[in-house]
Amino acid sequence: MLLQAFFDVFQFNVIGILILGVISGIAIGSLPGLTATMGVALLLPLTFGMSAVTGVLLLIGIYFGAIYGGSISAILINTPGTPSAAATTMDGYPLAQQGHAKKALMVSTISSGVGGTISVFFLIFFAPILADWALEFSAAESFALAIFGLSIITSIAGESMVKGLITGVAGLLIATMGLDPVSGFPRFTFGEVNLMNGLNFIPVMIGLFAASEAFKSMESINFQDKVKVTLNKAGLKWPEFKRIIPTILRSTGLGTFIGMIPAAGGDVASFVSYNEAKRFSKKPEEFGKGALEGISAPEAANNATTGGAMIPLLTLGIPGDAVTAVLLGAFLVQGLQPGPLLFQNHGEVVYALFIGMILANLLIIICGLSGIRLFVKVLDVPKKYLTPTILVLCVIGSYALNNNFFDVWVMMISGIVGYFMQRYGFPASPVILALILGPMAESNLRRALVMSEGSYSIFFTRPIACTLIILAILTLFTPLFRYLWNNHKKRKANSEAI
Amino acid sequence: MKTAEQIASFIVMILAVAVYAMTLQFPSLEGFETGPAFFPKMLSIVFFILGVLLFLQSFRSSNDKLPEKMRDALIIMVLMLVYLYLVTLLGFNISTPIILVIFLAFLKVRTWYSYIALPIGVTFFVYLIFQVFLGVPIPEGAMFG
Repeated sequence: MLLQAFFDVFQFNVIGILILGVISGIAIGSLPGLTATMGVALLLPLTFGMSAVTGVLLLIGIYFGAIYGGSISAILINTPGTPSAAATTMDGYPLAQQGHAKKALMVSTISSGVGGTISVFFLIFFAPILADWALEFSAAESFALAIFGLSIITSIAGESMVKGLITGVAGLLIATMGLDPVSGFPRFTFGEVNLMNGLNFIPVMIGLFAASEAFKSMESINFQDKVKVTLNKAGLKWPEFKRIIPTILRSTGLGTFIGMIPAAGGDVASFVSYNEAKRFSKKPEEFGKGALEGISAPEAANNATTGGAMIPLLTLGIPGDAVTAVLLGAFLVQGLQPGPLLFQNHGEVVYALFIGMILANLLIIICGLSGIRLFVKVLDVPKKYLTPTILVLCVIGSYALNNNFFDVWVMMISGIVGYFMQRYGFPASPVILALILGPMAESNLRRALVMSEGSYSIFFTRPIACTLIILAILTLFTPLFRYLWNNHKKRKANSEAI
Repeated sequence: MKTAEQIASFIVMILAVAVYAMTLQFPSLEGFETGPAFFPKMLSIVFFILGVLLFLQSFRSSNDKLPEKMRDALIIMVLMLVYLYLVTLLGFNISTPIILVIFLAFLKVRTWYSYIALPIGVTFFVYLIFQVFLGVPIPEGAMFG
């Protein structure tokens, strides 16, 4: 059966389709506004005429490629191409600004490919066991996971914790706009039809990251156009790579696990891994200034979620997120019903998919590394041409999402607000984190409280939920204590000096 | 920075009060422990406290002024608003080259061929990728739609 699967995959047209998928995926992922979900959904009709293995592998190539591709624009122009690359901007962009764009891209490429490949092995060996475990996640655990994700805000807040918390809570409040998930009551919609489903976070993200950065670059564009980032040709060195291996492995584990949980995908995984990498690091102060671990953690994690997300899809037939839901559709079109029976009835297809997934991840490394020289050319383009182009792409990117011009206004307002936030030291990442996790936190909190008839003990009597909540509290308060402790020491030193 | 933080803290507090007031009008759910107001109300209280903390913190911030170079950024924002209005009116394919020429002129680009290459190149690239390759419609504008 395994041999048959090999023959199914190692055919000229299958490999060709896979390469095509990965390259289009990378391109789609690197364009802000085009997400992995959209790429897979847009090209789904193309697979109708293909064989099962070819068709599904094309979409898998796009899915994996897009998740990686998001990091390219995150690193080069501070614009996460996909939501899951939002965490990558925090260290990727500073590193590129220091001239190490090549190194940054190498780290993200290798971390993505390695993370993705290992997660496929997880999928192959642990699919049945892990699937059982993830099924135990109910509302209480999902709420705890969301809170754990949100607790990271204090670590990514930057210079002022209060400002970070303010933008985080503001994001949570924005996330409550639209129909209430339990009762369907329209909240803060002001009678605007477009707000019924709440604010889509992708236009907000494009505005806060890309448009505001473009506005900011206007401040200096007429004065110092000559001062360009000098591109350092140095790539990733072996000792540096050795240093990030533990980060890649840890993030891969986290990513695979988070990918498995329904409704938590690459965006959650990348923020969680970023924070864990920072916590485990001997030099946490380097994070946010261009730490290699800060790039490799989110990138390994978000590509690892791909293998993780395939676990419930293939073994149980449950799509964990929007992309896998579209993939489920592709399976069904081919007459394959994912679930326990898929392994029994169509074993050769499953194995062919496993082999194809590993290949797709290797292709990411090959295409990514050979494309770096092409990608970094973006930095050579003078800001006078790049900035107007980015602004136009912001407009079309936020429009393309739902073909709705309302989203473009959302992007524009977020861009203006983001410009002033940046100017006065209010970080943008907590807003995005809150927009992603807010709805997950609220609906699961309320569902859990319904289950427990209003008792909060449900979060402490269930072991997984309780562990996650304790971790969240630790994550939330560690930076605070460290801050107070440092202040205390400083004051003590000052008084002794006097 | 100090003044800006104090203004920001007032904005936060006012927003928090406004959100809290709005949640008071949300209906409660029969048979459920928590209604639609539960989560936003809780958040608005936290938001208010954070606003107060920011206000207190602002006294420790330095008074020094930031270098004022906001003018160009503000002009670009206004130009972008004009652009968005143009897109709703004339559509993407016509407004984009127009606004790009204006941007280039504002940025004092001197090479004449950039005024042709960039506007046409960008518009064509977007058209090719979004409309032809991916089949995503681009805004057509009220005059043609």
